[in-house]
Amino acid sequence: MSENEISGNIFYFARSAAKALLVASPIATSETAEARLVELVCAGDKEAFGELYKIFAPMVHGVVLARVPHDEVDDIAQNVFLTAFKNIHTLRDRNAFGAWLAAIARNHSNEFYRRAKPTEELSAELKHHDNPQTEAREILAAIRALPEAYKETLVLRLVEGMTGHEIAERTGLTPESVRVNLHRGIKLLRDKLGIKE
Amino acid sequence: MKEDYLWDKTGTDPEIESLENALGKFCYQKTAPPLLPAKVFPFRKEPSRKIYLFALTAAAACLVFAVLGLGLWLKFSSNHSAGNLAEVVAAPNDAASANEPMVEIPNDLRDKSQKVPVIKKVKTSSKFTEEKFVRIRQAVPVIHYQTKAQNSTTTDLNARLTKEERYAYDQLMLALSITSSKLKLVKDKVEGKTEQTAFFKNAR
Repeated sequence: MSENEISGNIFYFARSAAKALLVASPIATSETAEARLVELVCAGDKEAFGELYKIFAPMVHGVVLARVPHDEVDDIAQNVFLTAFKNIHTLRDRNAFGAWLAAIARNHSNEFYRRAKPTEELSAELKHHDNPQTEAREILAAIRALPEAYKETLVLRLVEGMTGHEIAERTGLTPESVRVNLHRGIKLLRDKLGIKE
Repeated sequence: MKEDYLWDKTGTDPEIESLENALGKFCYQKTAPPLLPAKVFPFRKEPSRKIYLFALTAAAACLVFAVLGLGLWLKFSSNHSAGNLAEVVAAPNDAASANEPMVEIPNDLRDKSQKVPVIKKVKTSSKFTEEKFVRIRQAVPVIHYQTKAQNSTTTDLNARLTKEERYAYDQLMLALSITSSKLKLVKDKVEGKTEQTAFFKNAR
């Protein structure tokens, strides 16, 4: 058997194995399920949209929370889903519903600041941080001060309690990107909060 | 193992756990989905083949009108520039004999009892129209599809026609042949044929 034949066979089997792994992975299966739900919604099934809401509501909540005040998050999240429902027929790749929804959530969050009214700073007494609620707000503020890519991933992990795989699956990011974002984000957060490793 | 806990919650990491506990109250609380509008938009469909066919037919129709219009324009421009080229005068044969007719009438048509219109040159003209016609004839190859019977009638026709009429006839045939070759192209495209048409073969 010549070298070319051998290398050809090796490539062939490597490709087959990679394909089999991709098909067997849980991410690929759930993507197909989401695509099927999107298809049902396009066909007029409102219950399917309810299912999509259940799957993606925590992700949308996290993406919006990473950008806007906590009190506003629920309203904006509802608007995000309404916008998604109205425009779902424009979605070409049905497997990319999560990434598309995350983009809508980011746009709505940015829009909030465009039409937001000016706010007043809290007084020094109110700012006093002895109670746990104030501490939590400070941590959240520190996360929000991080770069875009890190703050969203950290909120989804620390606030919404998603694992790295779930974050990747819902937002359409690659698992490698999520891992890097988590690792670097937590390091920056430690620096901001003054925590030593 | 710290990174493992951060990634997939395996193992323990007290620092991250304390952060989770502190931020847990901002977590998503189950809410009902928003009230959806009554109308559900259908998924956008790909444009059907019918639309393409309609567009092709419309394009072919436009082309036919354009070619016919060009033919008519060429005809009228040659006739109306009669001041430049020639003037058709319908006159009895005996009256025309004095003015030296430009076109010789074939013997079999020289019937003295009939009044045959004769073309006579009134003014000297520029050769612009003639040159234009020749240029078009050189640029566009003309395909003639004729049966034997048609051939015989064509020769008869050519014998009977005057120069101006033959010119108009040629123009019409040219326009029709261009139109038919374009229509064949369209038809081939609609049917998905990739063969070269006779038009392009001749052009090469």
